[in-house]
Amino acid sequence: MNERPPGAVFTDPERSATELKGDARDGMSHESAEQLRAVLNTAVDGIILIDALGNIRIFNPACETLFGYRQSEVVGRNVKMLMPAPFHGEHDRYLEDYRRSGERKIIGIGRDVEGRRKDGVTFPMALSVGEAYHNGEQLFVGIIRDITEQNQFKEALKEGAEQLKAVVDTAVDGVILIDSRGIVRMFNPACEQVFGYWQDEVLGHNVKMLMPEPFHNEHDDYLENYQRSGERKIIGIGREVQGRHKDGTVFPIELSVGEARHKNEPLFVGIIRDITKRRQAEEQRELLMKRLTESDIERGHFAHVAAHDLGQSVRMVSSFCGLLSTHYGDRLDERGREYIALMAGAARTMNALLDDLVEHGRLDLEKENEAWFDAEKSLKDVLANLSETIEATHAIVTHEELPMMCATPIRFARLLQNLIGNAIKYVAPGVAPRVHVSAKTTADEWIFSVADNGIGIDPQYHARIFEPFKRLHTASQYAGTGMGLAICKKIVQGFGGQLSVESTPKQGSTFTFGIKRAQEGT
Amino acid sequence: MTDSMPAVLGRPAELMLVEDNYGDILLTQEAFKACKISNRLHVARDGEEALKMLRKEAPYGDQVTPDLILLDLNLPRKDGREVLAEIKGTRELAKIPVVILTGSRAELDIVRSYELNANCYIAKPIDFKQLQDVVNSIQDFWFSVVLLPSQRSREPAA
Repeated sequence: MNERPPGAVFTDPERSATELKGDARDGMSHESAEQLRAVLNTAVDGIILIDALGNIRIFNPACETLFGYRQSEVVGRNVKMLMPAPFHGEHDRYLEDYRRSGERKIIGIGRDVEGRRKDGVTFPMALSVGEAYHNGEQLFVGIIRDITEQNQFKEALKEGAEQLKAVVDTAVDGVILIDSRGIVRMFNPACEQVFGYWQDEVLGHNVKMLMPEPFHNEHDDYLENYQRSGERKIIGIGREVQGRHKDGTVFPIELSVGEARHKNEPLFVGIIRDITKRRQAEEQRELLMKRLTESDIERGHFAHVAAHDLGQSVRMVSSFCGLLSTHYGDRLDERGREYIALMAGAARTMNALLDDLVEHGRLDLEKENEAWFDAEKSLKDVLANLSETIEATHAIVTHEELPMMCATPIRFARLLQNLIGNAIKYVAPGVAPRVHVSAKTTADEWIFSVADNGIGIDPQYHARIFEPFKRLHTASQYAGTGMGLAICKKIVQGFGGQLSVESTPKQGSTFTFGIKRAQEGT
Repeated sequence: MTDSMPAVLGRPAELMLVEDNYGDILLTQEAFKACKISNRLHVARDGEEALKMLRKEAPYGDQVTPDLILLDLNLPRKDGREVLAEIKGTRELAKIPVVILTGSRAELDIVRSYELNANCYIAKPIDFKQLQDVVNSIQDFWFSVVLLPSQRSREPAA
C-alpha cells in the first residue's frame, strides 16, 4: 500500500472501470469500486474529476443533466468548456498558479461560480473542489450543485426583507424589536422621531432606556417572569404606557407587543404610537365636559335659589294684596281695587314663572327613578287634573290605548299635562277644543302624539316655541309663562327622545315625541 | 266665647311660630286672628331663640310650652332643619307636633323634614285667602280632630 496524501479518495474510474475488475493493487477491492460507481451514478450533485491539466476524467450522470453534455462529449476534454468567460480563459492559469505556488483560490474551500451549459446558457452553481493523488498523479474532484433555485429563493428573501425594511422605515408608528433579554435589535425612523434617539444610540442597548420609572426598573423582571410563567402583562394585548424621551420628558404611548421566534429565540415586536396629542385632546374634552356640567349645576342651583328668594318676595306682594283688598277694599274706589287686582295678577304670573323656572332647572339637576307604569292610567290622572278646564271649555279629549312603559312617571304625566293643557288653551275664541292622544309602539320607541284643532303655529316659529320664555302671544290673549314647552322638551330629552311639532295655522297642531323603549323586565 | 274654645284643650291654644320674615309673621298673625279657635301665637325670630323659648332659658323662664310649633325651614343662624332635629331629639319636646310651614316646595326639603320626624309639611300659599284656609285647617286638625298628650304629661316631672 503506497502512501496517499490526505484527500485522495479514489482513482480514475474511467480507466479503473475496466482495470479495477479483479485488480486490487492499490488496495481497492472490486466491491468498493462498485460502490463508488453507484455513488457516482446516483449522486444528485454533479461530480467531475479532472487531472492537473484540467482534462476531464469523470463526468457523472448528474453532470450530464446539469450541463446538457453526454459523458462521451466531455471526457478527455478540458474542463474549461464548462465555464463561461472570464473563468473559461483563466482556468489554465489557475491550475498553473496552483501547481507553482500552492496558492488556493478554490481548492478545499468551495464557492459560488457560474457554469456554462452545452446550449450556451450559464447558471449559478456551488462548486467545491478537493485534491487527490492517484499513483503520484495530482487529480481534482469537483462537486457541483445548481443553485439557480436557491439563488432565486435568496433573491426573494432579500426582496422581502427590503420591502419589510421599507415598510418599517416609513411606518408612521414606531417599531422596536427586542430579544428575550430586552436588547434592542431594530429601531425604526419613527422611533427616532418619538424618542429623540438615533438608531445607533439604541441598537444593542436595553430597551428600558426608553422607559421612565417604575417601568425602567421592572422591565427585566417582566421579561424574566414572562419567560418563566408565560404570564402576559402586555404581550398580544397592547395598552397605554409611558415612554421616556432622550431629553428626559415622559409622554404617553400606546404600545402593542407581539411575540415572534427567530432561531428558537423569542423576539418581541413593539408597535408604538405617541398619544400625547390624543391624550391632551381627551383631557381638554373632559375638562370642558366638567366645566359644562358644573355650569349646568351652578345654573340649576342659581335658578333654584333665585326662584326661592324671589318667590318669597312675590308671595309677600301677592299676600298683602289679598290682605289689603280684604281689610281695606271697601275704603278704595273701583279704580283703586282694580290696581290691587292687577298687582295680585302680576304677582301670580311671576309666581307661576318662578315655579316653572325651578322645575326647568331641576330637570337637569335631579335624576328621578324610572319605573314601569301604565301610560293609560297616567293619562287618566292628567285628565282628572285638567277636568275643571275641560269642563269650562267644553273640550273633547279622545285617546287611543296607551302602552305599559318605562320612564319617570311624574315627568311623563307632566309632559302629557302640558301638551294637553296647551292643546285646550290655544284655540280660537268660541271654539270647543278637540284633542286626540295617540300612541304607537315600534321596535325601539314608544311614540306619542297630541293633536288639536287649535290656532296652529306659523312654521317660522316651530323651533322657537321650545325655547324658554319664548311666547307667541300676549298674556291677555293666552296666559302662560313661556316655559311649558321648554319643560316638555327637556323631559323628552331626558327620556332619550325628541319632541317635534307639525302644524298648519288655523287648523291645528300635532306634537309628537318618542321615548326610547326599555326592554321588558328591566 | 265658649264655642270658640278648643274642643280638646278647653283653653286657648298655645302656638309657637318660628319665622324670620316680618311679612310672614304679620300674615300668619292675621290669619290666626281670623280663626274661630282662640289662640295665642308666640313668635321666635330665629332658630336659637326658638330653642331658648322651648327650653325656658333666660330670658324666657316664664314661656309656656306650646301645643303646636309652626316652623320655617330657612332661618338665620340655626336653620329650621337643625331646630327640628333638636326638638325631636329632646325627650320633653319630641311630643310637640311640628308643622313645617315654608316657602320651599323642593322634594328634598319635604323628604328631609319627614325624615327628621316633622309631623306635617305645608308650603306657604301664594295668596292670603289660601293662607287663611291653611291656618283654619291646621286649627281644625290639630285642635279639634287630633288627640294630643295633656299639658300635664308634657311638663317635666317635678
